[in-house]
Amino acid sequence: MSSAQDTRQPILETRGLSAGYSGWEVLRGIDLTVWPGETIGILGHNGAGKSTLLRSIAGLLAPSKGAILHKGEDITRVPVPQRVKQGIVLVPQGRALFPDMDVRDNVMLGAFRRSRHDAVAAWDALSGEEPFLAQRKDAIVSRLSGGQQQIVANARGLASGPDVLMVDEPSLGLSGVAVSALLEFLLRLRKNGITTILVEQNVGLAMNACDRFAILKNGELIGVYEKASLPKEELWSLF
Amino acid sequence: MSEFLAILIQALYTGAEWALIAVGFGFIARTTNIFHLALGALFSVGGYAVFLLAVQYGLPLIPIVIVAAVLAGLLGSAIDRFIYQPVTGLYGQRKINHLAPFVTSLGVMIVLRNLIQLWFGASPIYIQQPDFGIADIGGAKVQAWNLLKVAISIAACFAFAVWLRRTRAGTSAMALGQSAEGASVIGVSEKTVRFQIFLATGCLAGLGGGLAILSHPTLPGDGFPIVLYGALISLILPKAGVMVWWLASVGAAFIYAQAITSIGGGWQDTILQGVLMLGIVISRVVIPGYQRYAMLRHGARQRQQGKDTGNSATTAKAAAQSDGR
Repeated sequence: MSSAQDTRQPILETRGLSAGYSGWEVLRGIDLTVWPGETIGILGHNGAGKSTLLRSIAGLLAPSKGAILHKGEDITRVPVPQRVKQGIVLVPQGRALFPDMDVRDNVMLGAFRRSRHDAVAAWDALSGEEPFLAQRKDAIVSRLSGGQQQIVANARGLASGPDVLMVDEPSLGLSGVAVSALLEFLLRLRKNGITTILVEQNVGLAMNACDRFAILKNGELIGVYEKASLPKEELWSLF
Repeated sequence: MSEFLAILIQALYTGAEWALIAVGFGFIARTTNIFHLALGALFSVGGYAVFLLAVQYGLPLIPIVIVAAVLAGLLGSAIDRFIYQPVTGLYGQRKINHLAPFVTSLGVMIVLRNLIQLWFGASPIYIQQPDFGIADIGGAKVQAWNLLKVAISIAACFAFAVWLRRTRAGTSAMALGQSAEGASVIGVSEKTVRFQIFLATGCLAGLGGGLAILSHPTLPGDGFPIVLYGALISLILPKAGVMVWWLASVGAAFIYAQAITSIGGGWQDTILQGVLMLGIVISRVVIPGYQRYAMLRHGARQRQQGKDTGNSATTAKAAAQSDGR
């Protein structure tokens, strides 16, 4: 972490965050700081707690201990709809799209917590930026390929007007071409200054897209590294 | 009037009442995965509330039907909030046992039906049908009230469909029905949506009961077979739209009325349930099976074509090589 970042206020922090399922603690005491505009990758083995961390930050999973702060404000007990309104948005693993709705409805529903005017403006902006959305706006989402669905899921996340966009395993099951398109999307987020937390198993994609990396092991945060200082042996031991 | 037309008109009258349960049942099953059998009891609550307010308090009928529908709707939301939600949990704390909410809904229906029976007795109750005169449709003389009942049922279901398509609350309910996780991550509050859909569907069921008691004698348990038909219809057409469910209810009522006319009273329930169950087998087993078979055949044909093209290409290549030589 650079000293320049230290002087700014973190956009998101977790302090001693613990969470799990049915009394089984998956995450233990996670202290993580996310700075505005950065793309941070969360790496770790299967079951390390990466998705659990994102779900806790998104509010889908209530933490058993610790706190989550957004721009210094404690949001640990804030319900999901309110968090989405504040700009904490998750693009979940598996995408969780609305399969029988068309592309446009799916994307515009991302702006559910915003005004109708904002939803239309978000659609116009996103479909202008990503030609696929405009070309296939009437296509039923369940009939699209995995890569195309991921584009819709990413656009839906962006339509929420995120302050912090969390993307969980977006490259899972995608072809090489779709992964390239995904990388372009992630780089565009960085260029546009959208803070992104990326959980990713594809090391190449993560290395190209992220500025920093947090490594989880057995539910504990074992280190946070700048891209340049990421110990390669640590990285390869994870995959 | 021909016998067919008479049966069709009767089916419209009956189907208009049934549809108000079937639509709500189908939508709740789709959005929450709950078999809301208690809608059958809410149908009776609507009917008996109309009876109570009209006969005991002598209030005018139209406002009474509206009040009864709202009462049934509020009761529906309360059933979800205080009985179903603790059993099923909301997204994120969802409890995976699907049998528990089913048994719970059955229990709620039985308890409500028995409470109504304790209060009003087990004999049929009836209110004098509102007199709107006789209407003449293509030579057929029909009670204008019955036509009005059909129109109210269509209007209520249409309003429900518009609510689903055009309002924020309706859209969020549709979203919840397709992906609870997706709805959650876009900021839909499942609790609020469930309150709204149980209110709306309870209102529809209560309205059905109110219209029924103004048309024919009603018993506390009348809602149960209707909710069962609604369940079967929603299993046959799980992804259908509201107005398709409305038409399917009229279709079911037509089979019911036809069975009474052709075979005589007493067998109509069995025949209708048999036909609906056959419909489930066709829609869930026969049609998907045929689609799979057609897909496999199509694939096999394509592979065969590919092989033939490959063979002819090889032959052409060999011929060209031999010519070259």
